[in-house]
Amino acid sequence: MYIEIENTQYYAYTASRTLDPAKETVVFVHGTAMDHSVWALQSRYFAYHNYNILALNLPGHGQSDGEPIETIEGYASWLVKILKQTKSPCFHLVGHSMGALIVLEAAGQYGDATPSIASLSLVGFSYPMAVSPALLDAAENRPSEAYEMMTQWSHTSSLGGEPNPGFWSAGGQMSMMENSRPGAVYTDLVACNTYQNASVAFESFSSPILFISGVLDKMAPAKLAMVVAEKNQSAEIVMLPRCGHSIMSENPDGVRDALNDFIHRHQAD
Amino acid sequence: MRLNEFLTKKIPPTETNIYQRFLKIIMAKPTKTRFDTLALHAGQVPDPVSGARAVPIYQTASYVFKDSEQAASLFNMERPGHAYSRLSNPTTAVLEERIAALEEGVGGIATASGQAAMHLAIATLMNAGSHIVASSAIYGGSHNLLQYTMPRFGIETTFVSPRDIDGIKAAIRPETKLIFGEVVGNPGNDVMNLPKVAEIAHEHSLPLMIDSTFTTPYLIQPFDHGADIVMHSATKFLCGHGTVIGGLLVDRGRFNWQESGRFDTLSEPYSGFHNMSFDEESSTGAFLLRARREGLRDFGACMSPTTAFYILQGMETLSIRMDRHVSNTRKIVSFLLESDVVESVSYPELESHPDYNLCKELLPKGAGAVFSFSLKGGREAGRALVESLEVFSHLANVGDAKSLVIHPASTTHYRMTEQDLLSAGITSGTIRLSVGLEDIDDLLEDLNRGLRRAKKVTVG
Repeated sequence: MYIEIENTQYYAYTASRTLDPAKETVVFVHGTAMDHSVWALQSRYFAYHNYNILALNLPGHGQSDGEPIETIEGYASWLVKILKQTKSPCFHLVGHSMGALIVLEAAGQYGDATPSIASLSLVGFSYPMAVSPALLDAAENRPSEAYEMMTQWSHTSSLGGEPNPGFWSAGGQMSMMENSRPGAVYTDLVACNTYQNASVAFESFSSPILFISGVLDKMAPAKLAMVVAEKNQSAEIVMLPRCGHSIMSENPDGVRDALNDFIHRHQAD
Repeated sequence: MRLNEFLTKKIPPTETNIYQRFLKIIMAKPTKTRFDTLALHAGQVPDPVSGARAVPIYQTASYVFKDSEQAASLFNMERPGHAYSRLSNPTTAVLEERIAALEEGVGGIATASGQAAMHLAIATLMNAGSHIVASSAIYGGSHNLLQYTMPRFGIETTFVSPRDIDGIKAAIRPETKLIFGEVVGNPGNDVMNLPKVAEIAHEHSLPLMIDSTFTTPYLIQPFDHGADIVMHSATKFLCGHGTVIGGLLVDRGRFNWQESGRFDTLSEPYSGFHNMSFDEESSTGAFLLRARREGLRDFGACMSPTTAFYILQGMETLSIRMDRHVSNTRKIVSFLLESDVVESVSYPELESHPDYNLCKELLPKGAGAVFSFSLKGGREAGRALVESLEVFSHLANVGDAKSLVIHPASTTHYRMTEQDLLSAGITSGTIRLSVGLEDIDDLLEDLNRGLRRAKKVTVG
């Protein structure tokens, strides 16, 4: 479905289901130069298990109009607008990588408004989410090289063997990034690299937080997620073995089960 | 510090300083895993139960569900896994992932034959009333399917010479859904100008599907030249040993089905699968999802796991074999050019071939191992040559490790008149070879014997 904000159309995958205002809504936000498809093996499950889902395409990504936004704060403001015009008893925000920074910042901006953000799940998260100078340079000047670098760093093995029959995950990531709009990868990486507001954001809401990290994540090392998680007493941590940053395709069941357990336990009263 | 140590060891993290070191030291430009390594390993992790290094043959029709909930979510695409081997199988899945890795696509689908792969692609993309623009220089089986069988189901094809770029453009209609051709065609080894044809296809919001059976991903990756879907008869060089029948489809994941506006099978809700709009489900995998969830489910032309195993075995040595196929072919081509019994040799690496320059550009590693030549003595000379060969096997196949020969005028095209043969690009003396991996000297001696016999028949 498309959501209109300020005369611009934004796409959200709903698993071909109509949103039911009586159901809680799980909102999925993708990472750098990606789209909603990265959540294919998690989002559809929730749509068929008594939730609404909105797997969003960020501005200037996938089927959404508009342009990529240069800051995490800007993306978060956009997300808050999406939440404010969606009818639901509460929201469960789930973000991956840059999407994790966006949902964190959005939760901070949204605060404890109603309908509430009942839970926040940060997948493949680290803070700071610094980007290597080599990757930034490639993203700005040689995007194909940046896609290659990110694809290889995101996967635990360059040889595949992923659980989704018939798909080659590295090829899928490459094609998704190649399909992204010119400049999107650089804009997004700069947004990740310059974001410094996480500490403020964490202080600005009281929703329970789940961190899901791949033990072998090279893009957002799990130990950096743990440093942040340990500062948040209410946070829960799930470390998934044998997978890296491309955690939703390398361990789809692990991610879905962790999200399902956490979200189910934090439904609105 | 090694990367995995950094990621897993219990070193007290001091946040940014360690991370910054990590970024600078570890995140150098990564190297890409190369073709031969992917050909041996892609898609497989050693069997977690037995530790088997080779890909196990999961010879099973079905899979035990953990519980009803898991069963339901498997069938509804809420979780990955196997439910029934018509839809997917662990052995076949390794092959599908491996061909996708070698072609640099997003995924693949294995089918019962190359013909089944082609039919699956057509059935996935179009309905009755649709139209295809196809190269006229394609495999006879593909020609039969498009010319005679698909029209019964309301799908018409216009055939155009692969060299007639303007003709391809002119043949496109509002109802056209696909442009189709082979990298190296049949029987004249016409090389399709993939970049130009892809440009035309994309100007008209159409996908280009390329049959790369003769060339394999080792000699060319059609996606690099603009193709959107690649198909293979895996029976041929990928398997490489003439043991099984199989087909493969690979999607590049770049074609925008929705923006094209021509593909309601991918962009409209499908009532046969929970009103799924496949291009919403995945921005890169829509074609493969529908091909599997409808095409394999309903038409059922799936590949058996044992067949997949044989093809995987073949693919492990693909580059070594293709180099030898090409090397032997080049020597045989040179040898035939010297023979006074041979009227002409059609191989794109020859300067005399109309696609010589294009071949150099697209196929620098070689133009494959299937080619044809014509004998001066016509039908009788051809028959004499074929019947006197000992190492070359007289049969209707290509891409075996063993060398193969066929004389179309006395076999596959026996009922055709001289005029009909000429319009198909064949003379009564045309011989087609599929050059194998035998010792080149034995192949040359065998052909020399055959040419002497053909000459005897010709001059009496």
